Amino acid sequence: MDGSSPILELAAARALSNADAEPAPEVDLRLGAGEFALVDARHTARPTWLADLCCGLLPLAAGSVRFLGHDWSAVPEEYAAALRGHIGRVFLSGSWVGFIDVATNIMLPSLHHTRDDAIAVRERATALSCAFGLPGLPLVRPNELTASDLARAACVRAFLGDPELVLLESPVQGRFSSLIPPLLDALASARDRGAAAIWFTRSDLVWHDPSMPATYRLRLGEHDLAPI
Amino acid sequence: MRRVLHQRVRQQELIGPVLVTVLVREITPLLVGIIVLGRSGVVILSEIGELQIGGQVRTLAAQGLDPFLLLVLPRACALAIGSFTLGILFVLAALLSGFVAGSLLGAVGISVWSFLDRVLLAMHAGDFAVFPAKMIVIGLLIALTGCLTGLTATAQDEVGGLLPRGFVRGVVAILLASVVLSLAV
Repeated sequence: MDGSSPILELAAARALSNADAEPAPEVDLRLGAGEFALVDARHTARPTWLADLCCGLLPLAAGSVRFLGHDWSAVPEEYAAALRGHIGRVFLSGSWVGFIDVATNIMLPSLHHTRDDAIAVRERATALSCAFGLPGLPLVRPNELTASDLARAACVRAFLGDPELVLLESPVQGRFSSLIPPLLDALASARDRGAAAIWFTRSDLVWHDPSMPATYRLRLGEHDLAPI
Repeated sequence: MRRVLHQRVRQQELIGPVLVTVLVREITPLLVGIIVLGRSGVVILSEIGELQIGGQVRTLAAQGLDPFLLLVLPRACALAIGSFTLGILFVLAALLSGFVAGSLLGAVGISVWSFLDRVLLAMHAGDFAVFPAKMIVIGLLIALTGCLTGLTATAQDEVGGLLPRGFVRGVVAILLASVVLSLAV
């Protein structure tokens, strides 16, 4: 890792755990601009806890999590919400609000966090949708799309708005391997721009792919993160 | 004969004050509140509860979207305005249908304009304030109780189990708002 200011830095970060749960482990991770960590999440039932920790959603018992130089625990909630607007994320579950269409679901974060014109945001979202293999920006509700198209739409939302940090929670299931090339293209563009990325995968196909351009390869256990 | 006529005239004079006190101040806010709670409050509760239990509220927060701004505030404003407008429609419909029924039964012997005039004349300044205040506050409380009941659901909850809880909270909120505002204004 270089000595420049990192995009994301977890320094001995330990999430606050419930009294009846096992104590959470300390996590150290430092991602600079353009760096990409591929995380094997096949051996954990809770692959989202690290992503939540990176987003500042988990209260800390010790250590610190800094994003773009800001300590999540030190910034006010409104400021933290604005900072989260710089994170693009594919969620493992609970991605879609069912009573609004997929297009609105995709554009909502960009419309909320920026003053960009809605038409411009829609045009960018449409272009990204086409790049990810969708016929256009999906105007139907989430339950009317196939799982494959929803996976593509989730990627569109993650990369819309040029995020500084991209968190991908199992964006590619085995049967949707056609999503890998456009995803790698989008990832390469984001990294060229200076964004950092973490890809949590539960897929053997992705983990064993030698062409995956990962800067770091890490393994996420039930409560730890270890380098490979 | 004269006594009967005198009684009827006195009854007609009482139409305004009775309607204002019973219909406008008390019955309409309660009934409209119950209607809005059943028609929209429960729907809001099930929508928000589903989002909370399904993890979408957490997803919104992870994207930096404030669930209060995105989910609660628009619904609270919508129900406040909706309750108020529905209350006005309810009062108009109740007055007109009451007038028609009274005329057909021979209980009301005045024109519709005189009837409405008596109702308006019977209204005091406080009545003009308490009616919109009740309708707006009741609409707000229905939305807030629904949203908060949904947002405080846990992963172990089911939407079906939230509905009775939210309905009871909504009814209690309507009754309390009605009583407090009746006593205050």
